[in-house]
Amino acid sequence: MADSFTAITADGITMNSAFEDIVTLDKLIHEPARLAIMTALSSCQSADFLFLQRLTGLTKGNLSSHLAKLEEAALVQIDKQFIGKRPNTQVGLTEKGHQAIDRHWNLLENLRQNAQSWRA
Amino acid sequence: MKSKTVAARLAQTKLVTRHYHQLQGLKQIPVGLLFLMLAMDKAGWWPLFSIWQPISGILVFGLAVIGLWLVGRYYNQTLGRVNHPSSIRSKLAFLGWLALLIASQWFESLWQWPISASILFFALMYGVGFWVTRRTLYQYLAAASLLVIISLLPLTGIVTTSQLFLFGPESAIGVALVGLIIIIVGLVDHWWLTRSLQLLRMELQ
Repeated sequence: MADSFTAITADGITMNSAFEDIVTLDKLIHEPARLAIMTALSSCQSADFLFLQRLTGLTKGNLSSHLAKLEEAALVQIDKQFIGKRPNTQVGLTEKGHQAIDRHWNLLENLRQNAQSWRA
Repeated sequence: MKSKTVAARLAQTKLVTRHYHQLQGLKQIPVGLLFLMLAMDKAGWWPLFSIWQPISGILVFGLAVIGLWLVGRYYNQTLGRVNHPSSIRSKLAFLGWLALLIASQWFESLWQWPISASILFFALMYGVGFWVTRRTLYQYLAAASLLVIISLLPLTGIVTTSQLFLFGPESAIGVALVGLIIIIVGLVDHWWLTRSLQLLRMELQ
């Protein structure tokens, strides 16, 4: 705590910009499960519901709820289809979703770098 | 949550998703078994394979394809599907590897080098696999290193180059070693994929 306080007085500008970064972090994306979903989807064209469930360990209900929030914000696109006789839900990032997750990582990276400079 | 932990978890999430198909290691088992069957034939331990040619060859190849399809189905139904955009780059890479394999076999059939180009080809494949997965999958590095050592064995006189030349008639040892390495790396890949998914789930809870 004392270190943080010293860092504020010694390097006020850095701390201020860091706090601005924290404030501008998108809460919708920063929630851990949604961040994991968005990160996974940014590394592929699309993934199905089962893969996202295996990746996050969320229940069907919780995952559906997170995906609905992301879809509502137009960050992901959900396509329901049949593969053979089995229903399959494919989820992919929209253009807005790609931009949002890229921006989020940049902010996180800035925060990490700022945090390192406080320690130094 | 520490930022370093979050960054590491996100990097792991990206790695698993990006290389999901490559990490479906059980798919490598039918391929490895195909190599082992070929080795058995070359060693003369499976005479029926030679008697029934070419039907037996087509049958064994067909079984390997069916095996691949079944394993793919298993992954789709237990761990889910991930789709990657089909890029010209990946198609060119596949053609490049195929051309390199044919070239290595052709050079080796023309000149009896003291180093096995056939085995070096597989070492290069695993080496590139290690590189593109951001140097995190050490099973590829281990396989590449082991294959480089095997490729140098003709220098010691323990085996001859022709015993490691994959398309040659005396290559039972080379084909069997490659088959075994493919199976072992495949099993490690599968273990790594399932363990990574488990750890990512646990860290998120």
